[in-house]
Amino acid sequence: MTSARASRHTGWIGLLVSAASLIAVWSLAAFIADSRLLPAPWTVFGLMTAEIASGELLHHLGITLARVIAAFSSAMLIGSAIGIAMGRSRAVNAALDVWLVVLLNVPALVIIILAYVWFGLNEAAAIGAVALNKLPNVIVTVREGARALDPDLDQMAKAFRLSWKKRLFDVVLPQLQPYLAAAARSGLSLVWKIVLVVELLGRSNGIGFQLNLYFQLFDVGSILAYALSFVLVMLAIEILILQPLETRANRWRVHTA
Amino acid sequence: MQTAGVSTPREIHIERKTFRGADGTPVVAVEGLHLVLPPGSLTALIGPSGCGKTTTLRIVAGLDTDFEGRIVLPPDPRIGFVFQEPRLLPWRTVEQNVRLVLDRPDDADPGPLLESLGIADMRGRFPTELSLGLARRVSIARALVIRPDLLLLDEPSASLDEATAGRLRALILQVWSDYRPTTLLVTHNIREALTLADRLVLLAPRPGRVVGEVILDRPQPQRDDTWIEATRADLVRRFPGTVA
Repeated sequence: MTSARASRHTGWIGLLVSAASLIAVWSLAAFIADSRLLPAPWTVFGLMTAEIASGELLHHLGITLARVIAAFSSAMLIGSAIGIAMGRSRAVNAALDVWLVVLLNVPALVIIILAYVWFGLNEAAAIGAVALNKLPNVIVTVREGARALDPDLDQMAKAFRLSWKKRLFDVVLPQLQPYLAAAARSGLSLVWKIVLVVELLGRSNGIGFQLNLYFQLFDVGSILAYALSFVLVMLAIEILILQPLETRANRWRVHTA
Repeated sequence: MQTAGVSTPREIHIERKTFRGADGTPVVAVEGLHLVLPPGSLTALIGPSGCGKTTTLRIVAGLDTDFEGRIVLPPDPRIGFVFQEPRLLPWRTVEQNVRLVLDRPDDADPGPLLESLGIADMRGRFPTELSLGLARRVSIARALVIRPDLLLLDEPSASLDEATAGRLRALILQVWSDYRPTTLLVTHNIREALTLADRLVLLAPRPGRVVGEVILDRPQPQRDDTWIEATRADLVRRFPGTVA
């Protein structure tokens, strides 16, 4: 217990040190450059508060966040289902493998453009394109986990004739948890980056749209303000949601050491 | 509280079970194994490794359906399987592991069962915190909590030191007399079989087949070390090579 608290303590200190060094390097670079094109941290921070006060930033942030959540959850859900099926059944794997390789190698931009061309400049096309970009990634990771499922536990479930619900939620998903966590981690950051591209190309709101606007105005300060605000949101999701979830899921592991 | 189908016997008829060997040639694992298990009895299958004991259990449990023969069980049979490795879910507590196999987990109270197996105060622990002996008791509780039509025990005291194994056998005997499930025990340990069973079925290896059957009519509580040793010596003489 004490050592866990101590290591969490060191973790916080490490986080603060790395954040402080980032701001220090940035300030120094801004001071040396002395240019409108590289504003200092406090300038960006000022812009950020002004945009928050006007309500602009939170409006676009909320829209982008909603798109991220929609694309991320549909990619995780559909990707996990396909990944489990491919990992468990050789026939399904053979049937979908080529699709998967194609999808893995089509550039994100191509998927986005095709989605807009085929389905129009609408919300469904935008979110679908982002989800489709993330999908193969989830499938590959979860498939790996499904292949590594413990056959002994599977036999136990069969011998006791457990319902499919229990098999899924008590036997299979806990075994897939590290794989799902890995897919979620890499997924969230990938999804939000692609959401910005989708917004830039075909939406009239969201952070990506705003970035495009400020790019045309050459307003680097506002670009950084918008980008940073979303980075902070992602950091909050990581610390406040993902990490506690993972700690909870790993409760039983603590005792093995 | 009697369970449905309690008066019907459980029958095992395995005409032949073959495996494909490494070079593709079929190897007969079990041949002509016929067993009728009277309700509430404890039958021990004994034999050296390679005589198809575990294969037989897997067939009876419905985990292996690729064999010639038939298994007669009550409709919708509840089978309590105590595997050689405890096979508990490491991410669920002891109590959650036991409740997992119940159809309506809130119906039954596994308390008395955990109590009589001496694991009641470990309800909230995770399996990774338990020794093998304790984990196996949890696995026995899990098999008994469903009031099984058939209890399958696969080498319940394997890899335990003699003292722990003895304690576990005493506990098994205790809960078995309390609940009286029809039981099929598989073991290569003749002392274990002589402590627990009321009937021994002796198997010879390659292919696994029955070479003898012995009824043990002395009640289990009256079986002391002298009796067990004398019976063992007698069996070694009658079935050389099968019993060690």
